[in-house]
Amino acid sequence: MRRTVIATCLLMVMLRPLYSQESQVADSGQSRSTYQTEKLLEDVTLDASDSQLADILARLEENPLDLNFATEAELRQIPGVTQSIAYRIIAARGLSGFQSMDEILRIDGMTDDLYQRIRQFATLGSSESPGNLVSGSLRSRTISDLQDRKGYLDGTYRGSSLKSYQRLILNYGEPRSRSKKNDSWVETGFLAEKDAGEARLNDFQAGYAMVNAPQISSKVILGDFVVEAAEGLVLWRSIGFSKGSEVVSTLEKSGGGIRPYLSTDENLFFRGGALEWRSDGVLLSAFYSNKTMTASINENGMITGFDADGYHRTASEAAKEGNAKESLLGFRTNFDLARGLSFGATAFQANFSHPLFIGGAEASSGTTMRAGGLDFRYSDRRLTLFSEFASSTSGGIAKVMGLLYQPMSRLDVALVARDYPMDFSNIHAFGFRESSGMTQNEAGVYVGVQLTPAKWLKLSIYYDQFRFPWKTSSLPLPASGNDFLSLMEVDLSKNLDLQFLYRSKSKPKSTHAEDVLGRTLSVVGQRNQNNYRVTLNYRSSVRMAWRSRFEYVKVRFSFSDPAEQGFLYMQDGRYRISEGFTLDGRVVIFQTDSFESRLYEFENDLKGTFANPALYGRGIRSYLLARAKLAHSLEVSAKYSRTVRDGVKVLSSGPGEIQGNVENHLSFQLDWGF
Amino acid sequence: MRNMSYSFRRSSPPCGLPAGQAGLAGGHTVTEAQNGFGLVRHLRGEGKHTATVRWCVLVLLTAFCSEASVARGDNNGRGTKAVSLGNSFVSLADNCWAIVYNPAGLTQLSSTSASVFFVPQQFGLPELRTVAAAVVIPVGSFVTGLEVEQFGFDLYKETGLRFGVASLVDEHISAGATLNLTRITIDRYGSQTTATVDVGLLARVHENLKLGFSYLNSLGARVGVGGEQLPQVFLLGASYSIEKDLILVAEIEKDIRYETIVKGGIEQSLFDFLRLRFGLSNNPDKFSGGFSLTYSNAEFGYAGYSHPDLGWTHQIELSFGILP
Repeated sequence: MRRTVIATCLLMVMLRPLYSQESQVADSGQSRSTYQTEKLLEDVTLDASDSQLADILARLEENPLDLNFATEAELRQIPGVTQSIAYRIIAARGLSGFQSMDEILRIDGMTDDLYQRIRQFATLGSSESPGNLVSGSLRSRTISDLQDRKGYLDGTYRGSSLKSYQRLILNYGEPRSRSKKNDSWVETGFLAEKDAGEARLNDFQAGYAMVNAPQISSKVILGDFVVEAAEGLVLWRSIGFSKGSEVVSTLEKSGGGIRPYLSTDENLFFRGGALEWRSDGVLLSAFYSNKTMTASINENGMITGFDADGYHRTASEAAKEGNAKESLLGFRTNFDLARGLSFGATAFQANFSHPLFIGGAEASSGTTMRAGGLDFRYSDRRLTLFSEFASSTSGGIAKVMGLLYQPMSRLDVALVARDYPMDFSNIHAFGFRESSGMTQNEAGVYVGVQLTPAKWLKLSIYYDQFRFPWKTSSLPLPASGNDFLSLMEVDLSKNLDLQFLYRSKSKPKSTHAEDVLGRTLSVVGQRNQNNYRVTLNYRSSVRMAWRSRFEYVKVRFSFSDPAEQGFLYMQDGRYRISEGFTLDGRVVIFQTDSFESRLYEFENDLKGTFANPALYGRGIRSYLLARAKLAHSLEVSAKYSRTVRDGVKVLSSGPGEIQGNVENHLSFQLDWGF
Repeated sequence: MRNMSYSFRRSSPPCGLPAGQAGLAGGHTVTEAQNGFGLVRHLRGEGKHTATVRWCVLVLLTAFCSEASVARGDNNGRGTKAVSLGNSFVSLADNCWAIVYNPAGLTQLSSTSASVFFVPQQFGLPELRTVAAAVVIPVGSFVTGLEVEQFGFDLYKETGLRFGVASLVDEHISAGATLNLTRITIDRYGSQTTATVDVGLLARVHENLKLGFSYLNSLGARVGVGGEQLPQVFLLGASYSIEKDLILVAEIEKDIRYETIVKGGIEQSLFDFLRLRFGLSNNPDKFSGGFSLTYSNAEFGYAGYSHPDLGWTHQIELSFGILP
């Protein structure tokens, strides 16, 4: 570790002259934004995958904030914008507002990277023409596997291997002025999706109608929606981001309230109606949902879990579809008191068709689940405090408390403590946490530090300690672990930057051992993973961008001897052939000892989606992505990806099995705005 | 032993061989690894093997040495500059042989130039002979290149034809692609021609710093009855000129089937006509050196490299710049 740091410092000193020879003012062109979305998703999620997040960011990009009108809370929706930066943007725009985007570069603590990110999600004024009374967008995506999987050949899968996604959004009223809340408008959305192997093109459907009526200070959603409340201990969309290399700005969740739902997670959303009333610092929302869900039901007729994937490919998967029902009634209220202080309360009651047996016996709660919580938040220019306390039917009280502080203008510190007891059971919660299951059975403290000593240098570090006080389904004993990440981003010149990432994670893992009498015991050991990653980004001009990466991973187990390792090399090139026509290609060559030492690489994908494949074994992955704007409002994109694994004759298993060592996909998307 | 096994790192079955023959080749690898230097001595006639065995072993060795050359001229390299820098040429790629290492580098040649490269005896074996010639011609905003080469002898022969094209995609980055046609002829087995495509990128990040990337056999071409996957090679490197006369290069090379090769080299220019070069690479550990002499628009080059077990190989090259 020390050697890495020294080597890095030496390298910086060696390469520093490159920087001083060039101007330090960021280019006002778009060259940087080529990697922005990808880097952003990578920064906030590390190795998780969150399809809703991609959707949310895509929607924010399509409906950018107006920098001259956006509130502090809205600005913080842009990952990377901390509380203090948001305040400074508001202070800097003053009464006259910004005349040009470049003005925000003068704000203390602004980096080139953050500036480019703000450019991506915010504009100045309504540069777009007012538009028609009725407008809309259509997105049509198809993805096909070019290999025949066993399930299609032997008839296990009921449908074709084509994956289809069709989405239509219609606006009535003033479009593209969403940041001005005083307009009334209606928005409707509809989605039909079919996963590979499913029989119907509309296997999953979602839709909503949303009305904004400023006359009565209300917003109404009928149809599908999600609720994001406070820190997510009572209600959150089914997934969210926790830890990432964005170590400060994304920690506070501060939910956005009711949101229309048009993503493809097929279970944990609501279907019914929601009303939000907002006036002078008071927010009140109420919602009702009644929908069928797909659950795992045990022999006693109890629900043990909900399907996350929503696949209905085989006869047995299809038979399960809609086997459970939930009706839910809830509310959320929030009061803004003076001087940045606000209080809120959230509660719901849900009734299920079957008794719940989720999260172990300690947490089961019959057919009715109730949860309620209180939250408070304080913020000023340098300090933000937030917390939420929630309780559920089973009695436990979950707590999360956070502090974001800026002791100096270029130093941001975050501290978040959480405690989710075993007897807190709420399937709709998604609190800040380490584990991937329920928001339950975890306690921990997180410290994040972000330092920007100069415009060309950014350091991000977090350290998270956590423990699971009870046994879990995968761990027979209580256990603990920790997670450390450090990231250094150096702009060597206007167009060249280097990123060094080191991550060390120690997580409990269960295994079996024999005692002296030859009996098999379950024991808990530690799995220690160290990742080292170097990324080089070069933007030659507005037209061409280059990215190279090397990553090395080492995984050790306290209970078995040989450490595992793996590495990957990546090369990526993006080329804008002409205005509106871009080509993006990548080659990744990887080698890891097994799935345990797998590595991830984030991929740019069709708009509104992203890929983050786990790479293991020996092989090469490559892709080519083309985007073409055919007319002002018509965009076509296509992606071809190919993974070849060396030394294997069969890929995957079960009905998904492929004969051979090649797996390739072809996807195609059409976006039409009118 | 570890080094020995690397010494035949290109020892997977030669592409054109049928399955049975491939199995035989694999078996020999072990034996040779155990015998070590003995093999070369036998081939030189110092042993008491019969002529038949000598020929068999030669065919196999030729095939080992050449297997990669379908994807790229690995063992010999192409061009004395590249070889003497430890084969780290992907980020330099500034002569005719860029067509082999990184076609994007062709854009650095502003005038027509040609080169002839000759390896009389690889590891001292006249049967492992390589002759290659390349010509590069700028055409409009593109630079095109053509290369022909022949490796082997009458029992095993590879004949290659490469056509490359490259262009600047913007001020600092160029891209290029090469189409390679390789014909493998094995006496009494017949012959087969395979097409592969290489792609490359070259970036002049700064006046002193260049980055190069090349992906050989990018489409994953296969060959033979068994549809064997030809090697796909990933090359990524950087070159840095510390001073006007002194250039450092470093590069990694990764083929999924083998260990990563780390390579590096240094070139020093002396006076106006002499360049001295030195290079190192691992897996297997090799060192190399060479020089070039320039007179008017002609250049003579020499390169030599040592293999830890098989000894020295000498190469020469003559190139011409034809003024536009």
